[in-house]
Amino acid sequence: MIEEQFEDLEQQQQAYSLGMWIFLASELMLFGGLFLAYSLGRFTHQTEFAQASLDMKRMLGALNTAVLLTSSTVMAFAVDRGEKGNWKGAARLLLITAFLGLVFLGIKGYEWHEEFLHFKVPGPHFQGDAGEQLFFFFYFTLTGLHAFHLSLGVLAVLTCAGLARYRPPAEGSPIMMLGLYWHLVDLLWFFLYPLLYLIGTRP
Amino acid sequence: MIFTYWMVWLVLMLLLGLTVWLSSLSLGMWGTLLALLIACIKALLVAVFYMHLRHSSGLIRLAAGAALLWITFLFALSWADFLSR
Repeated sequence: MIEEQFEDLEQQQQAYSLGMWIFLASELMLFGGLFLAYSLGRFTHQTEFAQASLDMKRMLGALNTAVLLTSSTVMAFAVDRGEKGNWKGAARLLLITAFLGLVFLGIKGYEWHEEFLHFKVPGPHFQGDAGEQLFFFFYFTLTGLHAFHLSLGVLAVLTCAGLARYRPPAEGSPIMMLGLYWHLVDLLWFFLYPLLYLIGTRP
Repeated sequence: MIFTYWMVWLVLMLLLGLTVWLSSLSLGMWGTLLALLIACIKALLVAVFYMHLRHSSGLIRLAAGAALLWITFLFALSWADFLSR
């Protein structure tokens, strides 16, 4: 369906994409500010950051990266199906995408739980020096903000899957916009993983 | 289309493996730089293929690139200030 303010489908698509990309750019800048703060913190506490990063479960992090990038691939296929008008196929793939997102959150939640049990949450009971605490402050802020985005993504994907199955939109735009958001959240994790999990060097 | 998407997935997985392997070599700051370089390549692959920048108009690409430009300013100005105190 073409909304009345647009001349044709292509123009509508163009406007949707542009709006979405401007939103994504603002998301990138939100994370960009945190990355800047991280870089300054790490520069001033290099050895402490490297030490604290050794506590990370790097294989679980790698597994989570694999889960998330696979979910992005499935999402790309879902967008493709939606564009071709295959709503049932798109809905099925969206459900798989949401499931993989939940697997990611489950693994992340398990890691947080472990860190909580090992007194790695910044605060009066933190075990370690000030530099290590700063690292964990960044760790929880960055992974927390990322997981928040992913949770919203899962909710949106499930909603979209339900809509696609029972009340299909007339064209593929909603799934495409959702796909852009999902890919961005995936893409941010590509940077979080090495910066948080892999900076420790084993002696 | 299907072939391309799976190829991108394969390359992303291989790059992930490379990142994990490099991190076991204890390269220090160089290790971080290499890991970030690989992350940039992965991000570019996702943006170009999955996010359709390959087929997008110049306007969309400009909007996508604008954030990177401003983040570059943010880092350049902040670090210039931080390092020259």
